[in-house]
Amino acid sequence: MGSPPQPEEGDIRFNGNDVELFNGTAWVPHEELPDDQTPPDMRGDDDGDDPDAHLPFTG
Amino acid sequence: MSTPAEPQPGAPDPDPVLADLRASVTDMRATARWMTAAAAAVGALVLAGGPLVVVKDLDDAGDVVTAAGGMLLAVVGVVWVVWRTGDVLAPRTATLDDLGSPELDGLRALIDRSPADFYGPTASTPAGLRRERRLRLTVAARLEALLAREDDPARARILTHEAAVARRNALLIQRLQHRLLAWVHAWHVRRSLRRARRDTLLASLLVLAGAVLYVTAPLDAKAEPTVVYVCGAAPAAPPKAVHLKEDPCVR
Repeated sequence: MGSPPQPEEGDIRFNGNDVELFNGTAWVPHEELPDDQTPPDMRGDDDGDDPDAHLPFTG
Repeated sequence: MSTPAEPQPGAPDPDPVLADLRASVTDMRATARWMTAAAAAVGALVLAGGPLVVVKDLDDAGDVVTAAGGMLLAVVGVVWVVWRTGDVLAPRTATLDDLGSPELDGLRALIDRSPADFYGPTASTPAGLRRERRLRLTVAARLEALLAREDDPARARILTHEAAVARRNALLIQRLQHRLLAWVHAWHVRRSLRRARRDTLLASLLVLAGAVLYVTAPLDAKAEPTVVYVCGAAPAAPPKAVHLKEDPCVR
């Protein structure tokens, strides 16, 4: 009896009602990646506000 | 119990970070265009105005050579500015491998301060990001294939949900890749613009030196003309332009 084939990267399996994927080294739960990246702002705009629109002084 | 409806795949929302990066490149190129226009105006002034100002005052070959040299210097300065700012405007390619080049040291330092904001939660290098994208696309494709073959309604519901998650994950990684490419591109353009600004400052000194040279070309000291008097029988009247203390023909 031969050994089960080695999983490939991206393989999917059910573990009960949970889905797992093989990431190349181990089986890990298939979860949604957090979309919370906040890279620096290169342009320096603040929603297009005109910096001269709100002057610190009146008159 | 029914699962909530999964969001249908459609056109992804436009990425504000990507739009920002592209707008910054547009701004930088607009700056370069203004610099080129200013250099061209100076060049036109030098070539058209210079000769009109000084040509009538050029007395000898030395004046002409000096004026020509000054104009040439000024033109070289203008050409230098146009050449350098043209580098900012020229289209360029950007790849993730460019991150390894010395030119992007500043961008690498920026990324190293918060790598997760550039590479996402699972990758830490451009190669890792590529690999993550391949993984997520493969997972999404295999889940879709499993869903297409699944007969059990309960597992089909689970697979429907997981397939939607896989699609969102793949889109996220793809978006991070596009952002990183846009960062590489914008950094290249930023570097070109800084170099163009530095060279414009140096070239303006050259233009100024050339302008001073050709404006002052006719102002060199001229040698006094030699006047020869021919004394005849009667004393000759001295030339009007010559003021003598004594009559040169008087013996």
